[in-house]
Amino acid sequence: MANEKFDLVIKVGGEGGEGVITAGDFLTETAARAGYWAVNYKSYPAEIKGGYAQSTVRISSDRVFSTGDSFDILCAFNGEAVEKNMVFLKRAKDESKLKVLVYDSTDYEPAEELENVIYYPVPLSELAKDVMKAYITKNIIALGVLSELFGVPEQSIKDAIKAKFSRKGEKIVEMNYKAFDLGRQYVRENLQKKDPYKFPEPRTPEDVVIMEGNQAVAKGSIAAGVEFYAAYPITPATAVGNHIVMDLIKRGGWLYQAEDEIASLGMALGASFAGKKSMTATSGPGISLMSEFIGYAGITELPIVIVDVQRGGPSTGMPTKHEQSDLFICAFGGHGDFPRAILAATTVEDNFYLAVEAFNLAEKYQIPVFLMTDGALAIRSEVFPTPKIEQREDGKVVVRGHIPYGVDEIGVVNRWVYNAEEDKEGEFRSPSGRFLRYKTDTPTGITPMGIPGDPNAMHAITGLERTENSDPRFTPEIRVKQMNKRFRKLQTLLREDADRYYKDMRIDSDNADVAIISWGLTASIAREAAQRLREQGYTVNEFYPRLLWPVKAEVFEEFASKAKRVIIPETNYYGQFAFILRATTNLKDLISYVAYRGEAFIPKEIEDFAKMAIEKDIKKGWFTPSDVYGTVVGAI
Amino acid sequence: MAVLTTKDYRSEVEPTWCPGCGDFGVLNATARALAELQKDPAKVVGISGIGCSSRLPLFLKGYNAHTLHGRAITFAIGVKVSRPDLDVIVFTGDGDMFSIGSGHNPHVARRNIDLTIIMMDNKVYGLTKNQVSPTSRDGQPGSLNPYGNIDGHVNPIMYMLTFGATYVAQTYAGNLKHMTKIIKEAIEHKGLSFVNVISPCPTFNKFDSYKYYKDHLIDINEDLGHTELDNFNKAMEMAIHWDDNYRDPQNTKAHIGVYYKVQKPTYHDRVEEVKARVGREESIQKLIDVCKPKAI
Repeated sequence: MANEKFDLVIKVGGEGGEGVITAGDFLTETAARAGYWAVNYKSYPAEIKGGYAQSTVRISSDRVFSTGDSFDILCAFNGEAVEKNMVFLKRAKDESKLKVLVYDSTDYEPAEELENVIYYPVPLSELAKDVMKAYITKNIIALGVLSELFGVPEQSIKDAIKAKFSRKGEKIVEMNYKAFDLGRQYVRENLQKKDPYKFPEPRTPEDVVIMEGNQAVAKGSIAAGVEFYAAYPITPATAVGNHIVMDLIKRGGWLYQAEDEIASLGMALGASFAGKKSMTATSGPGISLMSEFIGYAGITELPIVIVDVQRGGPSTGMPTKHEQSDLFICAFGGHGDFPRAILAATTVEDNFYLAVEAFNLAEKYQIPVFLMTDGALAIRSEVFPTPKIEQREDGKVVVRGHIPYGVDEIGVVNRWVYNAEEDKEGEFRSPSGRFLRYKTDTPTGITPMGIPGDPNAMHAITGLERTENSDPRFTPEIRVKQMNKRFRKLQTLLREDADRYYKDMRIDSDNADVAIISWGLTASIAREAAQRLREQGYTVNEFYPRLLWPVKAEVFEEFASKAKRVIIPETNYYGQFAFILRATTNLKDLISYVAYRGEAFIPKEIEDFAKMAIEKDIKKGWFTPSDVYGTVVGAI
Repeated sequence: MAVLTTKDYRSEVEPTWCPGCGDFGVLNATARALAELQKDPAKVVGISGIGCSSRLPLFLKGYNAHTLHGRAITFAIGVKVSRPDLDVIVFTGDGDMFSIGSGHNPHVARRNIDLTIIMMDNKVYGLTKNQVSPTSRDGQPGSLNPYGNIDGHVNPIMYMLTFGATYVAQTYAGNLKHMTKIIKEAIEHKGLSFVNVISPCPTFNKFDSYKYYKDHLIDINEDLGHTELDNFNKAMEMAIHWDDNYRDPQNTKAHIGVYYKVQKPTYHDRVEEVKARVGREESIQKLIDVCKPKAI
């Protein structure tokens, strides 16, 4: 019984402020308490108050990483929520599964009965106002309705309610329990169950956490030992700061709210120069502003982590919408040539572990490292196994857990700090005794940093080209040696570290029907499409790299050689990662499959396109979902 | 530790400024001030932007950062807030601080961050070869306005007072003794110190010459009796009078001296209060475990 396969998508929609998002959070937590996995994609209205809000919660017995194609159950808090989702309800007649509509009959009466849709009218507003005398209990009544109709485990949901409200006192908990029971009672007395959806029995809960994407970035950075965070408010990145500020203080660090993004990165780099692990988080417009300082970090070799929570661009673009269109600026933004690395998260769980990795790469190689995530991941919450942090006596920190890209553990790395005691030979000193911050002949390109306070490593840094002891100098010989030193660090990275970010690869066949390479949130959706294709008998190879820059060409070339075609789905116009792969590898025949409507793909769009590519023997080119369906389809 | 002399604060890099540049004087005065205070060079961080004046930290021994045009203050804040044990001095110019970097001035001052800002005011862009700056005088010709300056000017003293700086002074690159005294005081001051140094550019600014300042300087503390240094209104009044020199340079004097000096809690003081209130958490695991569903 407890082992039966279970996979259900419940969407709650309604007016912002009616507890729609909270209801989704309750369902997510209920799943965790009942021993199931959940992914919750939230969509806030762009308005400060009011506007349409929704929460799509997918609850499953096995872990899934997307919210699927569409909902099975829609719980509509008002008529608008029904109308907004009408397109999906209408699609039910062409799908093999029934859809269920639970709606507030105080606010809405369906004009027609749609095929394959089961209707459950519940006067949610009326019950809240007239029976409970408290409109704010509407969402809890709705949870009672869902619990009774679909068997959402009563005790787990009540525990979640208690955990949330116990701080406000026993009376508030009791009131919410009453609202919950009212919803259940209404169903028992008024509705006949007509659908097949039923929660299985609760299982023994796993040791899990529930985090939002931005929160996972914050917690991962804390695990990495961040000491300074410079913040400037920007949608959708602000919440990284919200989540980190108090943790940072408790760990002895500080968050400083800057006057703009240029200042943020300047401050973060100042702290890095002063010896501290340092970061900032922003979105596309902030990255644009930071470009000059990103180059400065490159030439002065200051470790820095820059989190880019992408949104729809260019310019102000679509601040609350999903897009993956900042890859170019992260890879190429800023003038001149300098080394940098880009990591990109495919899930909330990834955000946690890749934040640790981003600090490791920044500290080891003394380069700017981007952690790319996006607005959809930022506010999505996930249930995932609790990361385990070992803090050893000697100060070493090791992070373990279910690391989704296939490594066993992450040892936290600290920068190489100059120690005169260890440099008896004077390798990093000039004949006159000056500290050689930028010595050019180390095999890795990495040289020790001098930290203010140490009398043996005093030096200046400058954005000018410089000698080994950092005096400004532009002779061809010095220039070439210093450039080679800086870029040797990237070669070292490709040799020593890149492979750990390339492990999320699956090869079904040496001549697969289709291979998929994808990154960011789209990867978590492509993964589901690939599984469906496989179930239909196709051979599918998959590769979800977490390291997007620099590119280890041979890994991609070998992967691509094992399939008849390579599809790269991503949510930007150019097909930015495909563009980079065409430039950095010998792969020219890649298929870019892109969407740029401000929403993530749904698995079906990738699945259908892959089938079309196989059928029509497509090997290269640029396609959008319109090429499959003939029209722009909204996914969410 | 042996007694340190001025040369212990100078790096091996030789300045590339034009002969007669006022910035030489600022470099000497800074080294003297640091020597008189016997500061540990390894714990002094000099930070600059871009411009002639911003080369200065490269000529100092210690930890120094020559950063981006207009951004020295941002970098300095990062150093000081994360390492309050260090003495942090910003070296900047009138274009660097009051044109491209002016957006940072209100915020560093209102927070009273314990930095020393030394602005070398030559009233011209020198490194790019003669363009007018926000402190240039009316009619001053530059390569982009050969017809003479029509832009108006800012009064840096008044701005920094209004923004909330707690030490505001002006000195002159031709007076090593006064400059050393002011820079020393500014470094010693707890809170945001702003020192405007009138620093002649003999190459591009023909008007603001050593010859002009030789008989146009007045010490506001000694000669004008401005001694109530913690009185903001009087400081503002004196700062307004510094503007007179823009309107009528021939018949008025250029100020040197301290306008304002007041002790207020620094940003760091307030940070420490917050940290004490919040307390520490040694276990990273505990900070992660708060994301688990709460035990009932």
